[in-house]
Amino acid sequence: MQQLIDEDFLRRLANLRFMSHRRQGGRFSGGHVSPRAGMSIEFADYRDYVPGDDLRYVDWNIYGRLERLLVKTFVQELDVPVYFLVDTSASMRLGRPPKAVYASQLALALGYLALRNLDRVGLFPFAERLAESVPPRHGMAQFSRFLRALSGIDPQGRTSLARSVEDFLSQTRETGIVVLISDFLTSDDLGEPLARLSYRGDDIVAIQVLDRDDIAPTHTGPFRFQDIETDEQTLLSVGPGTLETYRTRFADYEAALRRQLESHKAPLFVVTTDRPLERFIYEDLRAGGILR
Amino acid sequence: MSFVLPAALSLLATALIVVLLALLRSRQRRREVATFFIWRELRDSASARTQRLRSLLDPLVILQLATVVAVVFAIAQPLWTSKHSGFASLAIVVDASASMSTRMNSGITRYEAAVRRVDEILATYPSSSTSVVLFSKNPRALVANETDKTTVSRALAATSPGWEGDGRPADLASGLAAVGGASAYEQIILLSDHAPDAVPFPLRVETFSEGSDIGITAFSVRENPDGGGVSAFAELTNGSDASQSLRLEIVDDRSRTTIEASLEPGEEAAYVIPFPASRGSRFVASVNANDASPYDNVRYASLERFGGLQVHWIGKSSRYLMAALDAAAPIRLVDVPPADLTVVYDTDIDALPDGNVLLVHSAVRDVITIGDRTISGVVAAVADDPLLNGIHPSDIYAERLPLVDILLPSLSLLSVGDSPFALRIPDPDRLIVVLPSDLVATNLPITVDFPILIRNLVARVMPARPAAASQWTLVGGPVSLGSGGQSVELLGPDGRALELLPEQRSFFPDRPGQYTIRIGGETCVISVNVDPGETPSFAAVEPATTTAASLPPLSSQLRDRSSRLWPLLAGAGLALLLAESFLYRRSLSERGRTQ
Repeated sequence: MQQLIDEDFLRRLANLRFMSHRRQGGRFSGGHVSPRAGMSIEFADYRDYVPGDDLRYVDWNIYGRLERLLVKTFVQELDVPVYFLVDTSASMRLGRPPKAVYASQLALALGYLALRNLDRVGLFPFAERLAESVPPRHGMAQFSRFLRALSGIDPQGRTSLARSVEDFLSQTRETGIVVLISDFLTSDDLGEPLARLSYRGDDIVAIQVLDRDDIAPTHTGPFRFQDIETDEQTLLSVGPGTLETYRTRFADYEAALRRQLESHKAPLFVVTTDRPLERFIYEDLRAGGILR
Repeated sequence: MSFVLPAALSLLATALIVVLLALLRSRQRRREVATFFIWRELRDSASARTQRLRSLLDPLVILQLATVVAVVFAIAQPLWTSKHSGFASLAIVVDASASMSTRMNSGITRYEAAVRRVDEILATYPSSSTSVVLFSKNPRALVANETDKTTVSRALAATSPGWEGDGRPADLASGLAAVGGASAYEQIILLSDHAPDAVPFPLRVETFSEGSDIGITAFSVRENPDGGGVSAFAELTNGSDASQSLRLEIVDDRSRTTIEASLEPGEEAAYVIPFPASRGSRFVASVNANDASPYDNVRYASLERFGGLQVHWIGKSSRYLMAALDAAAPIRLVDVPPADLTVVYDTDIDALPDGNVLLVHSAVRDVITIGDRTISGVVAAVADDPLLNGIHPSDIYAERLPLVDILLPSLSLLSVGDSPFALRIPDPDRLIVVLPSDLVATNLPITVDFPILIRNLVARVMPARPAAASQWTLVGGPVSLGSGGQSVELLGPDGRALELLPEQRSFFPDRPGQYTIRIGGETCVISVNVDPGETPSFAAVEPATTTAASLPPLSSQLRDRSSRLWPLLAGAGLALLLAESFLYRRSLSERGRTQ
């Protein structure tokens, strides 16, 4: 754990908790508001008494005034499964530090604070297909499994979010919060997998981990560019003008990605690997309403 | 084009190092990227195409190669050979005599016109190796065998004509000898205001003779034989083409005299000007000519004057008095006044003479009357006067002292009783002493007091006039400063001391005026004048026929001229290196901005 994440840092994260935008229906009590009324200390509404209701929740004051039996309902707080889909394709090898390392640290930190909030946390590494996953479970023992799985990640292969989501949906039945951590640098269409996740009712949180060089490369000269995932190559002589064009094209790509995610109510958080993880979590994710 | 060190061209091989380094630097490096789909789109964009072309023609590499080539060529020292008209060797002789300072109608002097002509010649025949000689009585080499025309022009522009006279053909030959001799030159050009006499070698003469000249061509003074002042001799020349009314003024140390003269064009006129009032030894003659050559409008002369006492004697002679005067100072008797002292001895005159007067037993009508009655007795002093310094009056005895009546205020110096033996008529401007007694009627001539009295009197009337020797010479002429062993002081025309080297035995005055030489206790005045030959007669200033325009053009052959290119190439190499450095820094800063 020391290699991947700092223990002190995890302790500092303990006061944060995940926020679900949708009300997810969990199976166990947890820290998330359920779409169903339930038992908790947060008052929700009144409803007519039906036999079988717990008489402790009948509001006798209203009965005294209105002679109607009304039962107080409370917001039911349930646990929500938090699924971490972490990109382990070859492109995640790049960066200083590698994007895969940063993504793993991020998944580990967010998973930790989800476990601390009594949520079930699952890890689903993916590249072309979903790799060996860690099914969602409670408890800090899950954190150890989480850590082991993330420590063993060796980024390779192409990115195929469509097939990976298909695998993910087939492996999980319960809706939850899907934290999608990837560099999202692919020419594949992301619309379909996002639509499928959204259709199932999952809360999608997209975190794009990028290297500074992905956004604004600075090297000039003749290069043989090689796609790290497909090994496809092209020769290109890069000058200031080409770099400028690249930056424009990349910004267009990012804007398109953001639009696509927003159409599925999925916020996109972009982070570069040179940004301290703690600041990203405390500043960007909190500001984005993902953590509280 | 040829090279001094052609072997150095082998260093061009170092350019291969630059090319190899460039190739190594520009070889395509492999970059793994996650955004290949973007880079692939960029491959065909316009900026990538431009960059691809730029990578093929990297300006830095081109500049580096150009720098290497420039430096290697500079080391090889290329010589660019071109054909130019010119002379293998060209000697330009510029007349630097005083007359070249005559201003021409265009406003510039003849000398300036000659210098401009030199520049024209140098521009026309750039490949010539050129020597320049400044020609006058003392010629000097200014530039010897110089190929850089700018050096020649600058050296010549810094000169000006002197005050010396024209040199002779022998002087011209000696001037050229200083730069290798006349035979060493393919062409010799003399730029002067007149053509010289028979020159023993081929010479092209171009003249600049415009400008009128009126001047004093001769001036001297001599003492009048009778001792009364001087007579001056002056010669004026009207070198202009118009009649001139001139005023000649002669000034000595204290007085002046003038004459008016009218001269026809080309006329030379000589004048003897009496200057009776002159008592000086330095003379300056000037003419008020308004001409283009002022250098000869003033001339100088000096006169060796008698340094003793000039005495005008009236009446009988007296060997006692003459002996006493001779004992006091060298005496020169003059026939007519003015004199330093007028002695009236034992005679009657009508009026008191001008100047200092000693009256001995003489009457002056209506002023001094010598009576017939006499007295005798020992002389006594009745006044304290410098004339009586060293005299013991009691030693003097008057045998027959006549009584005297003086109608002017007088001061009795010595007397016998109430009768004056010696008296003085007070006058602030002169000394008048009266001895009423006949000297032979007293024992005064045989006493020691008599020469003392006369010495006191001479000391009062002796003029403060140095016994000056006199010399003259022309500007540039040698002046001896003695044979050595004595202190020498040389004063210039302005009275300031001129610096002399230790043991300097002669000097050459470089400007007109009156110089004073003090050798030991003796003083000599040197009058230095511009050579009268510098004032041409009217005939000499006839329109010149030897100006450059009127002469056949200078003919010269086309000659190879080799220009050294290495400084140019070295400079180019440095400039290319700086440009390469600038471009490199700029590309670095651009890279920094993009980061």
